[in-house]
Amino acid sequence: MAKLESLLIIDDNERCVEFLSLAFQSRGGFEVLTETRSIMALDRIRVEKPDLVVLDIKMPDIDGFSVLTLLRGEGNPVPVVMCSGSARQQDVDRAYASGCNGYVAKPASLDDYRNMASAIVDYWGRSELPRH
Amino acid sequence: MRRTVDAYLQLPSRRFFSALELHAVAIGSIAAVVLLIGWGFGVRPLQSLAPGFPTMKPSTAASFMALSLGCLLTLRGKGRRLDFAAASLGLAVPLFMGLLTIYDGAWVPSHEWQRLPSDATRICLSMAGAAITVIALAPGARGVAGILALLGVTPALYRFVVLLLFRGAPSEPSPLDTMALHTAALTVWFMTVCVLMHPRLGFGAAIMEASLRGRVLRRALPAMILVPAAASALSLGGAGAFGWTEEPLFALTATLSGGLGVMLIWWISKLLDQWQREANEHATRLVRANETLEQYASSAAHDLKAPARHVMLYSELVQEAIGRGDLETAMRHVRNIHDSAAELPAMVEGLLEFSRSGDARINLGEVSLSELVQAASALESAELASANARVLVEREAQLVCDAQLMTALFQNLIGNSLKNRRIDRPLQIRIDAARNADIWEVSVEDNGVGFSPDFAGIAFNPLARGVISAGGAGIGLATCRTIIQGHGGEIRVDPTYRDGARIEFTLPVKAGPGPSLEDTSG
Repeated sequence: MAKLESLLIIDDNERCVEFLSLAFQSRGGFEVLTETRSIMALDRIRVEKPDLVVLDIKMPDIDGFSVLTLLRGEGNPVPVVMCSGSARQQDVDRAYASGCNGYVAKPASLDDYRNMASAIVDYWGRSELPRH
Repeated sequence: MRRTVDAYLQLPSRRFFSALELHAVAIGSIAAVVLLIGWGFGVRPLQSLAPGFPTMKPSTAASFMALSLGCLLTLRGKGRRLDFAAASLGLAVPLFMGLLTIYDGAWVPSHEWQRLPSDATRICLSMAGAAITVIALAPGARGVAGILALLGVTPALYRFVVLLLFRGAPSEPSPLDTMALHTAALTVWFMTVCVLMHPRLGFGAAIMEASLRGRVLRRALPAMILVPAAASALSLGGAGAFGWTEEPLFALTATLSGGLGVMLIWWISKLLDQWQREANEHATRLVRANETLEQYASSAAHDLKAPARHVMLYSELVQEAIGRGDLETAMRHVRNIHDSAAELPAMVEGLLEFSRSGDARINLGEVSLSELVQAASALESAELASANARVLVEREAQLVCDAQLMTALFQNLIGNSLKNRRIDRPLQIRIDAARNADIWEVSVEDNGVGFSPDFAGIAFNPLARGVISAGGAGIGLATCRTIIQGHGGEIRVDPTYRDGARIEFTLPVKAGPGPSLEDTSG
C-alpha cells in the first residue's frame, strides 16, 4: 500500500488555500504544497509530482476544468479531487467528465473542513496511489 | 426559450423574397403587354385608364407636382423651414385653383359641378393642398387633414364610378371623358399615397409603425410619389419641347411607370431581405445574452458566497486561537475577517457596474487611440509607475466610439497586464491599430506571463474570470466584450502569442450598429 507523501492544493483564493492547508495539516503525516496561480499548476504537478491534487474550479487565467483536461491529456494519472464553492450538478458532472477522481463542495465551518480533509486522506491513504 | 425567440423574430424565408422578385417581373411583364395591346391595337379604354398626362392641362399637372413636392417635404423634413415650405406649397394650390376658377369664369351651379371634370379636379386639388398644409403646420390635427383628404377624393371618385358603372367605359371616349378618368385615377392615387397614408396622420401612423410592411411602405412612399410625378413631367416636357403626339407620350409614360414599379418591388424585396438578416442577428444576440446571463448569475452567486463563508471560518479560528491563548494569531484572523467583509461592497459595486454596462447607451464620437490610452493610463498611473511599466501606442487611429466606455476598456486591459506582469523584466504594453477595409483592428499586447492557449476560448466568459472579484482589474473581460460588441466589433485573445498576452479587437471605421449595449451584455 502506497503512502500519501505530498498533496498539492491549487486555489486562486489565498484564504481558501489557508483553510485547506490548516485542515490537511491538522491531519498530518504528509507534506502540503500550495499554488494560487492556476497557470503554474501544471508545471508544479509535473515537477513536484504530488500524490494527490486538490483543485479549485473557478480561477482566473485557466480554470480547474482546463487544468484537469490538460493533465489527463498528457496521460498524467495523479488523483485529483475537485474542491469548489459550487455544488451545481452540472459542475460535478463536468468535473467527472474531465477526469477527476472526487468532488467536494467547499465547507462553511472548520469542523467540516477537517472532516473533509480526513475523509480525503483516509480514502486516498488506503488506496493504491498511482505513481508518476 | 430559444425556439420561442426564433419563432417570434423569424421572418418569412428567403425563398419567399426570391419569389417576390419573380412576382415583380411577372407583374411588370403583364402590365407591359396590356399597355402595348392597348396602344398597338388602339383599345381606348385600356389607354385612357392607364396613368398618363397627355390630356391633362399644364396647370393641373403643375399643381400635382407642387403637391407631390409638398408631401415629400413633410415626409422627409424635420425642420421648421421644410414644414413651412411644404405648407406654402400646399396653400398655393387651392389659391391657384381659386384664381383659375375666377379667371375662367367656369363655376357652375352646385347640382351640375360633378359633370364637369375641371371643377371636380380643382376641388380635389384644393382639398389636397389644404390637407398638406394642415399636415405640415399642425400634425396634431390629424382628423382635419383626413377629413379634407376624404372630401377631396369624393368628387373624383364619384365621376369615376358614374362613368364606369352607369355609362360604362367609353369605347370612343371624348377628350373630356378621358381627362375625367385620368384625373380621377390620379387624384385617388395621390390622396391615398400622399395624404391618407402619410405617417403624420393617424391612419398612416398606424399602418407605418405597426408592422414590417408599414416600415417598408414608409421607405417606399417617396418613390411612389416621385414616379408618377416624374412621368408626368417627362410627358409634359416631351409634348412641349418636341411636339410628341398622344400615343408615344402614352407609351413613354406607361413604360417608365411600369419599369420603375418593377424596380420598386425589387428594391422592397432587398429591403425585406436586409431586415430579415438584421432580425436574425438580433435573435442570435438575444440568445447569446440569455446564455451569458445564466452563467453570470451563477458566477455572481459563487463570488458573493465566498467572503461570507470566509468570515464564518475565520471567526471559528479566532475562537480557537483565543481558547489556546494565542492572541497574535487571533488578531491576524480578525484582520482577515475585516478584509473578507470589506470585499463584499467592492463586489456589489462590481456587480452594479457590470449590470449598468448592459444598459449603457453608446455616445459615439471621434477620438484618437492615443487619447484613449492616455486617459486610461492616467487612471492607472500609480500602478504603472510602481511597476516601472511603459505603455506605447505604435500607430495612431481615429476611432468612432464612446470615449468613456473605451477608456474603461483600455483601463481594464492595462490593469490585467499589470496584474499578470513578470517580475524578471519591466512591463511593456504595446497598443497598435491597423485599418482593414471598413474596420479598425486594434491589438493590446504585453510582455507578461501571458495566457494559456486553453484560456483563449473562455477568456471573456464571466465564469472563467470573476467579473466582480474584489481587488480585480475593475470591470472584467466579460464587460470588455460587452463594450466591443456594443460598438459592432469583436474581441479575442490571440492563442498563438507566446511572448506575453495579446488581445485583439475590431471596431467599425464608421458608426457601429449597436446603439445600446443591452442586447450584447455578457
